[in-house]
Amino acid sequence: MKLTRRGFLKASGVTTAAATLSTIGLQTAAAQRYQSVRINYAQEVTTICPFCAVGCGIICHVRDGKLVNTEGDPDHPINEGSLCSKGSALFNMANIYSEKGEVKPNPNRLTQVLYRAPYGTEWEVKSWEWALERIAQKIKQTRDETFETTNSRGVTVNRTTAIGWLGSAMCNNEENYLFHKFARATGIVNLDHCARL
Amino acid sequence: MYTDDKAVGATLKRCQQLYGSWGNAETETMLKRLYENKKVLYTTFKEEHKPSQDEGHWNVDFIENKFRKGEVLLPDMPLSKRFISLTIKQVDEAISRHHPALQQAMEALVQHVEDTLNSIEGCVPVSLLLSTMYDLADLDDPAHCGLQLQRDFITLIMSYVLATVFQGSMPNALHQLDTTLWAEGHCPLCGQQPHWGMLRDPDGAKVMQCWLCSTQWVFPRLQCPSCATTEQQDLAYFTLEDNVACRVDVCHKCKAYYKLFNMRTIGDEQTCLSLHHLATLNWDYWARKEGFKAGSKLQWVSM
Repeated sequence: MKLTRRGFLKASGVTTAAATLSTIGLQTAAAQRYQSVRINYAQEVTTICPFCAVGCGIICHVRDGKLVNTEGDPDHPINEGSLCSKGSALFNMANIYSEKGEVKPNPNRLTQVLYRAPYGTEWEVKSWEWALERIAQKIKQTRDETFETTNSRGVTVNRTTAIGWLGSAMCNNEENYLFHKFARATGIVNLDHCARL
Repeated sequence: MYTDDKAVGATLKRCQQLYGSWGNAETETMLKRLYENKKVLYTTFKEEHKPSQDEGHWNVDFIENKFRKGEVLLPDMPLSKRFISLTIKQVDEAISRHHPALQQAMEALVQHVEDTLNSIEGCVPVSLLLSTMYDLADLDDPAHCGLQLQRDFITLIMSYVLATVFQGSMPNALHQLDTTLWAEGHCPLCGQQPHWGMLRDPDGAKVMQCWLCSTQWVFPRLQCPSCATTEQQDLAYFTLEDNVACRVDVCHKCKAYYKLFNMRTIGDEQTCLSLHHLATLNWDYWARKEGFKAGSKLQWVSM
């Protein structure tokens, strides 16, 4: 026989005062001080650490479109929640702390293209279109001026030592492969990666 | 199986530090009495109860095979009527001692549960008691029915009795269950949906804990244990004020909520999460107010 609330109330004829959890001191909505409270919503979004090719998983906490916290992703098979000192500091890519400990946007985070002319002392804001065109021109010009077919001993080298090229941990393996191919094809030999991993 | 006395005392104090004081001076004493009395109940029961299956039945291969298939180990365990009766009388004694005004209502509830048990032959399947609890707590309009026991109070009493009796009846081999292979959102032992879990220290893994049998299992951070969605835009959480010890995870797809306790803030591995849950019932209120329902189906808020 199932015990139903109606059956129980009918049979028991209970007429005592209504009992709630607040009656026995367990706080519920009845407590006056909880009439207004600040509710802070956030979402968790997964990403990959940009600092090296290990590619640790990170959970970013986002509130109103702003990053409020980062932590290692415990469900990621590579790092299982742990982060190195660089990954742990990912939050500071976007935010730093004032002297009072308040979070504020990191002023050193680049959000636009900056150009300093040769022998110049000031940074100028430039568009991506200008910058990419300029970079292409300078690579071509520098390569044409410095390309050597043979070295001083007469060995065929087909290289330019006047350009250095860095791959990026912020890019994926496929992109870095293309960077490498392009650099080698143009004769660049001073080739490295920001993380070396 | 039960939280030892030292851990109960430490947990009550820690909850006070994290969430504010308990409602009144009697509350802490009453809770301590309830939790400490579990040990006496378990000892009494173990002397009398014979498990339906040998401990050897629960070997590693059997359990792993079950988990790989997604099958729960004890889907409808039979419970001893005597144990249920002993437990609810113990709750009656603890509450009535500290809140004499509730004595009559508690006595009526105890009597009706006893009458129900007496009408059943043999052991009582846990599913029957669960549906009884859900029926008792599930009223459309408490005021209309002349309610004398609000649904949150019913939930406290019945869930405490059910959890105590269930955990005292479980085979010993299942108390330290390795749930590594379990991939579902509900409990691998009894099949219940969880009401709370934790963010483990130090890796932050989401570990759900069953309110009925206390089994723990790891579940992905970005997945809803109720509907299993992994769409990140459907999942969110909220905290109250600046309290980071407790947060409420919600799913906009199925509208379920459950609470997570951050062990990296709480800092005590031995802490009793069911007490943290009782100390944070306001979080349940705000979850309901925000339009979510408990994934566990437990009615901890009278609204």
